[in-house]
Order: sequence, then structure tokens, then C-alpha cells
Amino acid sequence: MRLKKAVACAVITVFLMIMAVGCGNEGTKPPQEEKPLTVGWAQWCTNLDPGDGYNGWYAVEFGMGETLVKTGKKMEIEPWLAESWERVDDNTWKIKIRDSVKFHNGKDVDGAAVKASLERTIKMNKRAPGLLDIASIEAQGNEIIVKNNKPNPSFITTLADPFAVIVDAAAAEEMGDQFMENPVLTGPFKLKKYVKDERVEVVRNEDYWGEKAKQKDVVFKSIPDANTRLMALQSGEIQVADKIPAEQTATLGKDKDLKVLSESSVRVHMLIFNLKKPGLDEISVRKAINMAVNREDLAQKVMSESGIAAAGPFPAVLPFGGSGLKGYDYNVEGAKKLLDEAGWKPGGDGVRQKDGKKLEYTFLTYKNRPELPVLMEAMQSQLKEIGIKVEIKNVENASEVMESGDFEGCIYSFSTAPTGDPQYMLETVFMTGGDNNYGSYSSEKLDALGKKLQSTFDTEERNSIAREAQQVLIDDAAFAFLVYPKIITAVDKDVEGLDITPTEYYFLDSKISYKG
Amino acid sequence: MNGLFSSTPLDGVLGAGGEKIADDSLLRGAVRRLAKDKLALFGLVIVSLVILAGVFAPYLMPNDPVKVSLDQRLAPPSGAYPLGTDHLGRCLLSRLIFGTRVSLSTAALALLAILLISIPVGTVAGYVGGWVDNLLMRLVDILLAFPSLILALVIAGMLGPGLLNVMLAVAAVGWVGYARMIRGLVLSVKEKEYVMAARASGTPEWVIVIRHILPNVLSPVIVLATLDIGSLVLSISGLSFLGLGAQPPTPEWGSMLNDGRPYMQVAPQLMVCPGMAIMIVVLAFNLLGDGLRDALDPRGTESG
Repeated sequence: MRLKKAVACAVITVFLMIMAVGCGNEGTKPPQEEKPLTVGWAQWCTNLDPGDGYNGWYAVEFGMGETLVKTGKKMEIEPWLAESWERVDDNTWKIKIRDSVKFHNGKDVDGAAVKASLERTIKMNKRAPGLLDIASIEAQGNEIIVKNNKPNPSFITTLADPFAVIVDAAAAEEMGDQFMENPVLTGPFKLKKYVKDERVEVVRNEDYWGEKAKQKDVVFKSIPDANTRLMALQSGEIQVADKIPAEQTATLGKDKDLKVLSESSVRVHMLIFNLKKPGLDEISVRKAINMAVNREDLAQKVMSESGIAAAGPFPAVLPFGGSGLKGYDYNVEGAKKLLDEAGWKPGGDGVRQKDGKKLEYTFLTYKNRPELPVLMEAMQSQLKEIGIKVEIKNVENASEVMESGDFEGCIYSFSTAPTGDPQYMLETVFMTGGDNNYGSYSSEKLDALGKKLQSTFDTEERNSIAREAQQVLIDDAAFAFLVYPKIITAVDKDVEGLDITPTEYYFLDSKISYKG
Repeated sequence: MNGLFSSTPLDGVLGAGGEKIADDSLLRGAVRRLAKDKLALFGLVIVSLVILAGVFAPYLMPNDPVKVSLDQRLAPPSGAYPLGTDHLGRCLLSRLIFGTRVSLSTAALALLAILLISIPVGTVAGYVGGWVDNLLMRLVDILLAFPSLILALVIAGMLGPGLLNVMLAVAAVGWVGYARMIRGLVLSVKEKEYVMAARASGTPEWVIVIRHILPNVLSPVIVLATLDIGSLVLSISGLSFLGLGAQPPTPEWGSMLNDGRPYMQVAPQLMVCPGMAIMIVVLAFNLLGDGLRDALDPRGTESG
């Protein structure tokens, strides 16, 4: 017995020592003349080829990749690699590319190179053909002329999607699989070292077409766990930690060496109802649920002020979002009255019922976004107030379960309009038969508005159609739009020039510098 | 769990034979030895207190453990909330106390399920022998070859989240060790003179199993299995921590531990308290188990 204990103690001690040594190695690097800026990143790419899946997001975040146009802080479209563009007719666009742009390998970026890059994206990215809807591209010197298959008003905004990062397609062809680890792009930073699933080191591009970067070296590290990211920041191992849980901002606020930046994102956390399930097919029940949810409490208390109470699907940072819509006010008595009138009367256990059917549902949630299960739990108790019993089920892959159709409700998070255009979300989530229309919502009124949007070019008119469509969704109570989460990034006070934008994929640019 | 099966303390119990008198004196000796073992007594006291806390949970809780009050979230310890509140403003102490009930009853039910599977399998294998024994024991061998927690994880993952499913998953991997132990006990009892005598006098086989073999096998198995609850509590909390067990708002120590994780720096008590609760309960059961094992083995050295 004693001997066993002694052996166990010895083994544990050795393990602790190994762990301590492992931790120690990280921090001791030889000092350089200029300290690199180290960034802890929550999500990570599978490779560095911008055309592949969502990896383009990372190419843009890491300051290496650039698209023709970009989305500004107010979600308006700004020139980037393109200098200007014009609509020749309903199906034709003429885009002029900046003169002095060069790829990281020194080659000029001209019309032909952009054409090759866009064609490569369409070939390899599943989302691209439908969204860009290009019939042909013609390159003339520094200009390209794009013909769409049918009028595509969201064409220019779609060019801001990171899958359309301009790459040297000829080099990609030559390099084959090598390109995934060493892409040839145009940004203010170029790749220095890539360690798969672990880190990306970038260095200033001395031949950049625009203002040269202030910071010389930047290292991005994959740190998926929020607590680990935060502790790495506090210990000085990293200087920027992205996606910080709201609760931690209070502790961080006390630390004089750190600052917290936050900005509304273009995301919405919402409740999807399966409109085929009994009870949920009744508008009064869905309205009552919408009224019983205290969105202010969810945003201010549950999310510690890192959320904004939602009205419709699109956050107020978008020109067609939030303000001006008539959402649901928190009104428990009104919700009860609505259910009473619809014939749902409280039973002995407090759960409302009608014709032998009880208002008892299992709502799904998932842990990838840690705030969702907590929001769900808070709503569980809010819905109990009006006599609706909710069981919560944590699932690994919520969209997979919803696609099977075997669900009653689910809390879900959508990035609503990353490029600042409403069309994509209306088509995929709300219109009849949309790919992500999990709850089988169908409304003639909304479908008509969606169709109208597909052929309207005027921005003001598009915005007003989008607002009208959102009001339809709200009036139908087809979903419960809950909160718009904010992006919270914690930064060392010596990092300057960092600007958080609503679009999640803009991060490293020429202005950022670190003087540690 | 493994400690139970690797040693053979029960030989002592059974070696005394089936006669009641011998059993009694042995048990009296065991109790005497246990009373001298201070650590085991300490474990016994804690275990009793925890069980009492679970039974009388509704009277001990200062607040409703599932009542959400968002105005009170992450409150520090105070008069109204002795250990503070969690991320939804629920009383942490109340949740811990109610969690005792959830954790212990789940573990106890899992144990019951384990015994219900392993006793018939072990007895049949041991008593019938031959190819039946071979077949059952090879099945046990296969299951024992898998790492048990990972197998439980897979089963719980397939069944979907929920306390009942976690219980089933733990039972599905837990029964194998017991089945093998019971088979061994049955094998040794089978050769005893009183069984021979019963067989010689023409008693039907099933009567022999029920009246002569099972009573002599069961009591030590049940005593020791009860003390195995510690490791069951640990497995169930582990699966709950991973989100497979208790679903919100049910307070369960493992899921409370996970819920508290994001608030580690703001409100460390959210992780420390359920963590301590799990540790103390498992430790208490293990201390008591160790003591009892030593006490039941008269050949073992007196341990302090």
C-alpha cells in the first residue's frame, strides 16, 4: 500500500515537471531587434489556399490576401485591388484594377491575372458559381469586363467574399498542392512560415502597392480554447486574443496593460422553429414565445452586455438592419393572453395544453458557440413563465440534425450578411426551399420580395426591400430573433492601429504596430 | 474498479465455508478491524453525510436550484446565497446539494444495472461451465480489451445525451469486470462440500444455484460493489462534463463543472465547488472501500 502511494507520487511529480518544462520552452526565444506581434486565434484554416472552402477568410485575416473590393466599417463597399467599377448594362460590369499591384512573387496583377484568379475560384469553390453567376470574363489591359448569366445586383458585393481573393493562378497551376502551403497573393504581408494546424508567421511585404505595413513580423497561433487564449494574453505570450467571452471583460478591464475592443458583428443568434410540429404551426404560439423572451435580459445580463437585443435577422450595423423594424416587446401577460385566446389552457403541472397536446418541446443547442446553451437555458426559464415546457438537448452538429427534419426547435447562429448584402440570407434561410430553411418556413409574400431583390440594382431600393422582408418574417413570428453578438478582442496596450470591423475577416493591415 | 478485481480478498470470506457461524465471527472480526482503521472511518462518516444530504436535499437547500434570476448572476457568496450564484443567477449551494442526489442516485442505478447483468452472466458461466463459460468469458475478454471510458463515451454518444443514457453506457462497460469476478466466486463455491452434498441428495440444479451458491456469492459482491460507487460517480461526472449526461437545468456535478469553465477567473467557486464535491465523495468511497477490503481479508496486514 505505502509503496504504491510512493510510486504514484513520484509518477505525478515527474509528469508535473515535464509539463512545467513544456510550458517554459514557449516563452524563451532569443530577443530580436523588433519584437514580432503574436496573435492568438480561435478558429483555424485547413490550408492557406484562399479559393478552398472558407480558407480565404484566413488569407484576409492574416494580411496576405486581398479581394477586388472590401466591406467598410459601415458595411459599405470600398475599392481595394479594384480602383473603380461601373455597370455597363444589367448583365455587364466593367472593373478597373489598380496600376501598381504586384503579386508576392513580383509579377504584375493585370486584367488577365484577375480573370484567371476568378475563374480558378469558380472552378474550386462550391459557393462561388451561384453567387458570382458569371457567364464570361474578358480581360483588357488593366480592366476586366464581366458578363453575368442574368442580372446579378449583388455581384460587386460578392467580390468582397474572401473566396474571391486574387491569387496568382499561373503560379498555383505550376505549384500544384504546394500552393496550399505557400500561396502567392498581393497583401501587405507575405508568408514566412506555415505550420499546419498550429501557426502562421507573416512578414512585411516591402513591395506592397499601398502604404507599407508598420509592423515587420506577425505570428498567428491557433488557440481554440478561450480560457487558454486569455491566459496566454495575460502572461504576455500573445498580444492579441480574439473572440473573448464577455464575462472575462470585467477581469480584463482591471488590467492596465490590456484593452478590450468590441464591435457589433453581422451575426444573429436566433431560434428556429420547425413549423411542421403541432403547436409550433400556430402563429399564436410562436408569437407568444417571441413575446415571452426577454431580449434585453439576454443581451445585457446573460451575455454581459456583449450582445444587442435583436428585432429582425439583420443587425443594426447593416444599412438595412435593425432600426425601423417593429420587433416584439417583452410582455409576459400579453403572451399568456394570446395563448389563452388560442385555447391553450394551463394544466395541473402548469404546462399549457389543448386537445390533449401539451406545449412541451425539445429545443436543440450546440457548444461551438459557448453562449448558445446559456441563452437557451435562460429562455427555458422565461418560457416556463408562460406555461411552455422546454427540454434542452446539446447536440454536436445542429445543422445536420435540423436537415433530417426531426427537431422541434433549435437556437442557431447565422452570419447574416458578411459582404453587406441581404440577398444571400434571404435566399438560403428564409425563402421557400432555401438550403438552410430548416424549419420549412414558406411565405408567398417573402418569396415575392426575395425575387424582387434578385433584379433590383438601386441600393436604396434594395435596402427598403430587405426591411420589408424582415417585417414579414417578424409578423409571421416564423423565427425568434434574439441577439446580435458583439465581437470582443482583447489587446495588449502597446498594440496600436488595430480596428475591429463588423465583418469578421478583416484584421491585419498596414496600420497595426506593436512596440513591446 | 480494477483494484477490486486484481486482489482476492474474498477468498478469506468464502474460505470460511458456508456455515453461518463461521461467517458471523468473520464479520465481527472485520468490523473490529474496520473500527481501528481511522481513514476508513473518516470515509464512512463522509459517505454517510453525503447520502443524508442527498436524501434530505429538499430540506437542506437554501434556494430553488433551478430558479433563474438574471439580476443575481455570478453573485459572490452572501447570506442568501452561501456559495454565491452561477452564470444564470442560480444558488450554487442548492445546486451542489441537489447534485448530490442526482450523482449518487445515477451511480446507484448504474450499479444496479451492472449487477442485474453481471450476476446472471457470471453465475451461468461459472456454474454451467464448458462452452457456455467459454463463450461468455471470451465476450468479457473482448469488452475488457477496450479502454472502458472511451467505450462508454462511444455508447453514450450513440444513445444521445441524457442521464439515463449515460447510466446505460456506464453499465454497459461496467458489468464485464463484475461478471468475471462472480464467475470466479461461483467456481470456488461450486466445489464446496455443502454443494456436493446438495447435489448428491438430488436437489435440482436451479435450487442449488439460488439457495446455496448465490447467497454465498452475493453478500461480498454487493458490499464491495457498493464501495465502487466512487468510481461510478467519477465516470458519470466525466461524461456529464463532456455534455453527454445531465441536460440543463438539472444540476449535476460534472455538468456544473463544465458550466463554470468560462467563468474560471471571474468566479472560480463555480468550478472549485463541484470539483471539490466530486473529489471528496470519490475519496471517501475509496477510503472506505480500501478499509473494508483490508478488514474483510483476515490474512492482510493491519494497515493504518
